[in-house]
Amino acid sequence: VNDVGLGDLARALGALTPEDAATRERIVRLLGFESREDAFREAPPSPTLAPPPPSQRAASPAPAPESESAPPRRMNPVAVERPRPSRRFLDAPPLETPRDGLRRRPSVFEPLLAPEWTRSLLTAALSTRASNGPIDVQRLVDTAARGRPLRDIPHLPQPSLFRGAQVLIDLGEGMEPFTRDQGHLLHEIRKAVGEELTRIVHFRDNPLRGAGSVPVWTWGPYEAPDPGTPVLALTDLGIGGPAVHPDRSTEEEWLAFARQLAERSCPLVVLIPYPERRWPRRLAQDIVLLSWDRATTVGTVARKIRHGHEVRP
Amino acid sequence: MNNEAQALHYKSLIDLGPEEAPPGEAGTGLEAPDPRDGRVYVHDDGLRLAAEVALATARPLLLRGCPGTGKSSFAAYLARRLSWRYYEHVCTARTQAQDLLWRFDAVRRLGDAQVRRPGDPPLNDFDYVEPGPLWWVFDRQSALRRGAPPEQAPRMPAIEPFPELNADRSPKDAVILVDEIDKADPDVPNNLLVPLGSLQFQVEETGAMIRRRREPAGDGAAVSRLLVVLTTNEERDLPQAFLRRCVVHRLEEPNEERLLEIARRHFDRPGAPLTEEDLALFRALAGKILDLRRQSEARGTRPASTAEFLDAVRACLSLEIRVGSPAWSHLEQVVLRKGEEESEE
Repeated sequence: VNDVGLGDLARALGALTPEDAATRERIVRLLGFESREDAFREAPPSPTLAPPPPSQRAASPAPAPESESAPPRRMNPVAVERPRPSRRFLDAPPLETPRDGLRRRPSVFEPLLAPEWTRSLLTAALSTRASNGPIDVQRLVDTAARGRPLRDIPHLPQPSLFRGAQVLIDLGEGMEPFTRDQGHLLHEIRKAVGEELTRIVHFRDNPLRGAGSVPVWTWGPYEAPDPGTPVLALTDLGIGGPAVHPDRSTEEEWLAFARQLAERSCPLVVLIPYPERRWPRRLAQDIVLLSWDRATTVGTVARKIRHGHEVRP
Repeated sequence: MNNEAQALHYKSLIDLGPEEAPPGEAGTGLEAPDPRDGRVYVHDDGLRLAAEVALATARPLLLRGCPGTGKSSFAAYLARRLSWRYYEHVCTARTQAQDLLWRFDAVRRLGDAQVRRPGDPPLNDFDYVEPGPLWWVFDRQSALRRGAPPEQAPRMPAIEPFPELNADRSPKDAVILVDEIDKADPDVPNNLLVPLGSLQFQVEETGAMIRRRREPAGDGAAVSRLLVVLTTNEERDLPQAFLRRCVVHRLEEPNEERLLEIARRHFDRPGAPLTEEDLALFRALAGKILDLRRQSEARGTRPASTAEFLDAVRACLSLEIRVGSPAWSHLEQVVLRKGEEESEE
C-alpha cells in the first residue's frame, strides 16, 4: 500500500478540476504537497543580495513559467505539528539581533538515544502484556482434551501501552548534566504513550525521600501508580554527582523502592546515563536497568523485557 | 483562529442538496448532548474540499483539531446529507485493528460444539463471525451473510449497526467514522494500513475474502463511494507511515460569527423561531467563549470548546439564565471554566 503520491494528486485534480489557483493550492496541500510556485513565493529574501533596481527588475525574465510547470514538492514531514506557542510568547517583542562579533553557533542537541529507535524502544520498555492477542489454541486444546470446563477463552499475550506509564525524573545533582535530555525524552514518552496516560513525578536522589510535581515545596511521600502501571525512572541511581555527596542515594533505598512497586505489580525500568561498569551490581539483578545511550537498541530492551512486562492480575 | 471564507471553485463529486430545516433542539435540555445523528453541522468550504479530495483519491480523511471542534460530528452529518449509510467505531486504549474488521465468537462456538448430539447438523463457522464496521462499509451484503457463500448461509443474518439511521439510505455508499484513533495502541493504525489501503481483508477463521466493491459513477469513471473519516486529538503521534496515506485537515476553532451560526442552526426550530433576546444571548455567550479562550491561551490551559458553548446555550435557554444574571457566574463555572479560576488579566 503506497503513500499518498503524485498519482493521488493527479486523480484529485482530474476529478475535482479546480477552477482557480487558490483551490488548486488547497488540494495540493491537503495531499501533503507544496507547489513550487508557492515555495518560490514564500522563499525569504537573500540577506546578501541587494534587490535589483526597478528598471532591471522589469527587464529580467520572470521565473514564473518555470516554477508553474515544475512538479509539486512533497512536504516533509506531513505529520509533525507542534502545539502553537502561547499568545504571550507571540506578543513578546523580538530580541535584538546580536552583532556579528557576538554571534555564536547554536549548540546542536544530540539525544542520548538514537532518534530513529526512540519510539520503538520506549514502546518495548513500557509495554505490559495484555491478554487480547490471538486465541491460545494450544491451551484451549489442552483444556478440552482433559475434559475440563472452559471458563474463559485463553488468549496469547500481546504487548500494549494501555496501562500508560509513570515517569520519575531525578532532579538530583548527578542528573544535572542531563536535564535537557530528560525534557527531550519526556516529550518522546508523551508522544509514544499518550499525554493523558503519562504521569510525571519529580524526585531528588530517591523517590522514597519525597516526590511530586514542581514546585519542590509541594512534594510529599511518593505515591505509586495504579497497580500494573509501568514506572520508568530517569536517574543515576546515586552514581553521578560530586565525589563527596552526603545525600547520595543508596542501593538499599532503591531496592526498597523496587520492592514497594513490586508489591503493586508495577514493573520498574531505569534509564541510566552512566556507563554500565559503574552500575550497582545488586540493583542490576533485581531491577531492569537500561543504558541511556546510543548503544541501546530495541533488541537490548527485548532481551530484558520479552513481549512486554508480565503483570499479576 | 482562522475561519477563512475564501471561496473554492471546483467540480464537486457530491451533491449535498438543499439543507432541510433541522428539527432543532427542544431547548429543554432533554435531548442527548452529542446525538451523532448528523442533524446539524456548520462546515466551511475547506472541510468539504478535504472530504472531496479524500473521495477522489479513495484515501482516508484524517481530521485533527482541538476537542469539541466538530471532528466527530462531521462524518454523521455528511452521511445524512448524502443519504449514505453511517457506521462508527470509537477507539480506546484496548482497541485492536481486528475490532474494526470482524470478531469471532469462539466461546459460543466451543459451547455449541460441546452440547452437540449425534445426528445434529455440523456447526457452521460463519454463524460465529460478527462483522466489524469496516466490513459493513466494504461489502454490506457479505456482512449480512457473515461472509458465507450462498450455499453456507448462516442461521441468522448479522445485525447491521444503526439500523434505524441506515434504514432508508443507500445500500452501496457509506461513511465510516473511526473516532479518536490516537487513543489506540500505536500498532492499530499500522495494522489498518492494508485494509484501508487495499480495501480488502481476509477473515482468518473462515477464509472469507472481504473486498470493497467499486461502483462506476454516472460518467463511467470509477469513483469511490466510501469515505473513511478518522479523528485524532493528537494525544499521541500517529505513525508517519499511516499519516502519509491520509488526506489531512485541521479544524480550527470557530470565530464569533461561526459560533453564532452554529447556535442559530442548533436552536432555530420551524415552530419556535428565535427571538431577538435569544440572538442577544448567543452573541453574549460567543463573546464570553472567546474571552475564555484568550485567557486559556495566555495560561496554556485547555480552551472552552464549541461543544461547551452549545451546552451553555442549552442550559441558558432551558433554565432562562441570562449572561450577567446572578445564576450566570455559577453556570459559567460549571459549564465553561470547570473549576479553573478566573484570570487576572
